[in-house]
Amino acid sequence: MQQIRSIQEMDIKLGERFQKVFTETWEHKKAGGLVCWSTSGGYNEFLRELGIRVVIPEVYGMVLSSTGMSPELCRNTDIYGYSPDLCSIIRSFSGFALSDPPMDPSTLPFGGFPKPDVLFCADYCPGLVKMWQEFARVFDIPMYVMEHPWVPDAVSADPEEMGNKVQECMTEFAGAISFFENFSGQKLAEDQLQKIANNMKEASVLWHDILAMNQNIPAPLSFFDVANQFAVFQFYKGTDECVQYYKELKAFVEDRVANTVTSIPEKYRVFWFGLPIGYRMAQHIEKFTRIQVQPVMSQWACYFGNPNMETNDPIRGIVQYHNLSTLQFRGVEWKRDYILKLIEDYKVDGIILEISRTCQVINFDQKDIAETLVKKTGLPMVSFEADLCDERLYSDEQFNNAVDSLVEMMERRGPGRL
Amino acid sequence: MNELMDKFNWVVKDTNAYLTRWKKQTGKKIMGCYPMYVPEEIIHAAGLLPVTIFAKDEPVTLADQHMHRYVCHVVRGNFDLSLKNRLDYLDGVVFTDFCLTVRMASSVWMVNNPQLFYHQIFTPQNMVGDQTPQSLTRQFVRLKKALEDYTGQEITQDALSKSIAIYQENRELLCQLYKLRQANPERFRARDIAMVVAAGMVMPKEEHSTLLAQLIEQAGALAPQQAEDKVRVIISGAFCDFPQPGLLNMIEDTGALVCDDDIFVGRRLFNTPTARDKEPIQALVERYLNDLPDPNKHNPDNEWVPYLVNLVKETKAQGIVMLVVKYCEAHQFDLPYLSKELTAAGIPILIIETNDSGATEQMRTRLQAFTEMLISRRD
Amino acid sequence: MITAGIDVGSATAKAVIFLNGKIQSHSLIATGADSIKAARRATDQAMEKAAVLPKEVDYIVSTGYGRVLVPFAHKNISEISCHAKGAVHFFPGTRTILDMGGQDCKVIRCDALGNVENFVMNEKCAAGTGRFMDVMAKTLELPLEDIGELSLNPVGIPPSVSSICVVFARTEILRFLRKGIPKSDILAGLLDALADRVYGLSCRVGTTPDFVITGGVAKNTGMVRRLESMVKMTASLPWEPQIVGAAGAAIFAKQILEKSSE
Ligand code: SF4
Ligand code: SF4
Repeated sequence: MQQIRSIQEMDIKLGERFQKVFTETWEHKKAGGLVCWSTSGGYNEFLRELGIRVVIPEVYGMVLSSTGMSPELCRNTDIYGYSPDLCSIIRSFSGFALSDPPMDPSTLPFGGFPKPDVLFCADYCPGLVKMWQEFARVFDIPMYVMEHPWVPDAVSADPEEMGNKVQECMTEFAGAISFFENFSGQKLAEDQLQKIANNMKEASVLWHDILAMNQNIPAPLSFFDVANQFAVFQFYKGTDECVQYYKELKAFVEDRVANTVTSIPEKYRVFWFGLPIGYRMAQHIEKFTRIQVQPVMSQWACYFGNPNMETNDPIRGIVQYHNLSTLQFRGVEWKRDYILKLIEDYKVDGIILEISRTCQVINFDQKDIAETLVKKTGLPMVSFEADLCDERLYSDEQFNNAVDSLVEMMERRGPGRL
Repeated sequence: MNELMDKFNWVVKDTNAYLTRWKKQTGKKIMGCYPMYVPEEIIHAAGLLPVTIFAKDEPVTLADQHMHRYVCHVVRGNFDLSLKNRLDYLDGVVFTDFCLTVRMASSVWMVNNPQLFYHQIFTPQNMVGDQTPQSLTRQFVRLKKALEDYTGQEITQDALSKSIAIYQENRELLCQLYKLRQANPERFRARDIAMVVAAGMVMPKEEHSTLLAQLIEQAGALAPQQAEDKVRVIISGAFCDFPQPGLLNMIEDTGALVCDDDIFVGRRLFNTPTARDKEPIQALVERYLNDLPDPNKHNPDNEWVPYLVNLVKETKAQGIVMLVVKYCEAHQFDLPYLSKELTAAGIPILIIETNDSGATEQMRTRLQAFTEMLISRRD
Repeated sequence: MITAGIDVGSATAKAVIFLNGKIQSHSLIATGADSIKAARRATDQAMEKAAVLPKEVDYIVSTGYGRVLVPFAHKNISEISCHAKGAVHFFPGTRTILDMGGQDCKVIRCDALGNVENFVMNEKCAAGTGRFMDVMAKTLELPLEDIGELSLNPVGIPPSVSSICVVFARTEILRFLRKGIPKSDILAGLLDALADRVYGLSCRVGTTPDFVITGGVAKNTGMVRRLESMVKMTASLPWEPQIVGAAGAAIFAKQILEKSSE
């Protein structure tokens, strides 16, 4: 018998962790400490050891989306001159960062975050590099760009080239370390990096174990739960705290599995191909609960962590963590095969394609991959357009129609047919 | 001059017919160069014909099945041509990854056009990184090796040097043409210049240089035309795109005189020389590193605005028409910076967003208002 | 010297006869399917009102969307330049013009002589255009003239409208109607969103006084009041906001003649 219970207690713990990060960052800044704005693509884990606090505005953009503040902030960037075609996560946090007159941060969720002293950008998304360049001009502070090459299929298939690629990323990473050592006037000890790598590995393994538990029927978590819980990675990646958190989460989820507890009643299981929609999360959960459809997995959840990273050389390990496993930075075939396997392992009955209008990093090859998924699995698929933060690009009607027709299609096939 | 222009026009408009015939006559292979920054000299030295792949100015149809419509029309457009079998003359494609969309476009191409030879060069974005030159060198050497494997023949240093010389001669001729144009822009239509440049991205450089030399001779002999009441402008942007000829005409029909440009089928192609007297791969790497700024490259020491300000000064232009490909993220992200800083430098700028639906009446209104504004500023 | 200005817009065609530094007469008709005919008729009407004969008109400048199609014009000038020129004639202190026409919406900054210094035009977005107002009025089954006033007197709290794209606007309005929200409140919500868009546009060139609003939408008091409160200044409204472009064209015609006779 399925028990339906939300994961509220973990969400509360998560909220506490969040608040702690922002409070600490302000305190750090007020005490004269350095703050760096960086990107979720990583490589910034070591900065903490050099006395530099990291803020990831993208993650904050997701928070702004969930709290419904994005449209107002995007309006600031409209006025600044940024086209509404551009990534709305970037526009959301920049609407705060570039606001003129400056916004009072205390009016923002978690009290906002302080201005940076330095900028660090891994080059995997053009929008971020461009915005960091503007920040560098506006705040008149140094910026470091680190190449973040992708791994297309031809390279994935060529071990020698792959080796070269990893080697190059390692050199890039070492370059970043020495830049920030100079900037902070501190030296990073070998064992500090080793510890970070070990923690990253451990948390990755925990995270992927947690995800794998969703292969159970019913799944202990919905994708919406997962979408929140990844967040600890973003701010605590590489720390003991991060490992500790995911240990707790794992125990919590194990308990749910043992008691067949789930968040959404599960008549059908679906794969969510895209990103979660923060500003409609509550409505989506409600909708899925009503129609008893549980999104059990998403490619997005797998962006975080690489359980296969090696830790004997921390620099190599961290490169593997960020560039290699991360599904997003691979070629079409690699991604497609990965997702096919997810669909199989998680035993889904249908696919929902969420098209994030303003994120090309995600949406570019989505259509091509989705086509093949349908061809290869024969599963029903529906799609709807949305956007991470810009509500103007989302329509409830379109979403509801899509999901309702998916249910019809799944009903015709009957559950559990994969 | 008309006869030469006809030839250039034909090559660009009917690339397919031209190249199919060329292939039959020479029995050689054609390697597509995805815009932009492919070191064509290496392909040339391998005995292949490097041909730039342009999107045509026609609506995208088949590609819509594979790519969202929020992808720039450059990438959607040329992929569409491949699906419409309009690029059948290609034996392979070489990509760089100078922008995110191109980075990902390569794998969508490969999946959907599996019969072709592929190679992708990872071009660094960070121009000031310590290891940028080495990693780029490695990429160019890797391309050389891939082509050697493909043709079964070694690419000698000698062949590379020769190719560089051939390309460099072509660039120098284009420089001459642009000098003539700057001195007397009334003599040329912007559209024609673009056609001349684009033809050289399709036909063998040797042939193009011969025709180009003739064109320069004939154009140089023309009597200078009487200057009408027009304002001098520069077209910038479109750094990987072939702007629609209709749009180029429209710019001039509204009373502007294009005296120079900063576009892909224009100065961006030939402005930066390749040294003839260096180790060839090294010379190509340096060319890339010294090339003109574009929004996808990160280089605080070589930014776009100072370059444009200088170009405006040199060419005595009164304003800039900036063509932006819709959904080109990097470029769109640069627009506030460009408008702010160019306006601060006293240079009026008009931003025109382009897509595959061509030149619209709204564009005409804005272009006309812009030239009217420049005229009233001047008088 | 008698000159004429003709503004062929997407919805209406306007003509102005200019004589002795003054607007002698004007006309305003619906463009319909044939813009050349409309241009002709508008000009004829204006000439008739001013009691001038076609051969007495020394110079004609056309402007507006259909400006290149007017066969009897001596020259065509963009509506952006003409609006600036015209607005300065109506209000000599004009520095910013917001023109909300049938098809597009533009913000123009000009100098004391009515020369354009900078401008922005909305791209493919109907916010702040007559077309959008039409869709709104039709969907709500209200006369176009009434929507401005009505929007200023909502009963409750206006709903927040996220999508102000014409494509979605209709379904959005219908959804509100189904929910039983009063029409005045729906209008208030819509106009809030529209004014916000237009305001965003105007921020790109900046608004310096005097601030003049022209075009058909200037007759919509709901829109005007909202914009005034956003830019924090009162707007000057010409006595006939729709003929400002045509007036500017006629003034250009006069200046061209004067220049050529120098
Ligand atoms: S475009 Fe995509 S990858 Fe880049 S910041 Fe936005 S959401 Fe992230
Ligand atoms: S137009 Fe922009 S997005 Fe498209 S290929 Fe060129 S640089 Fe890339």
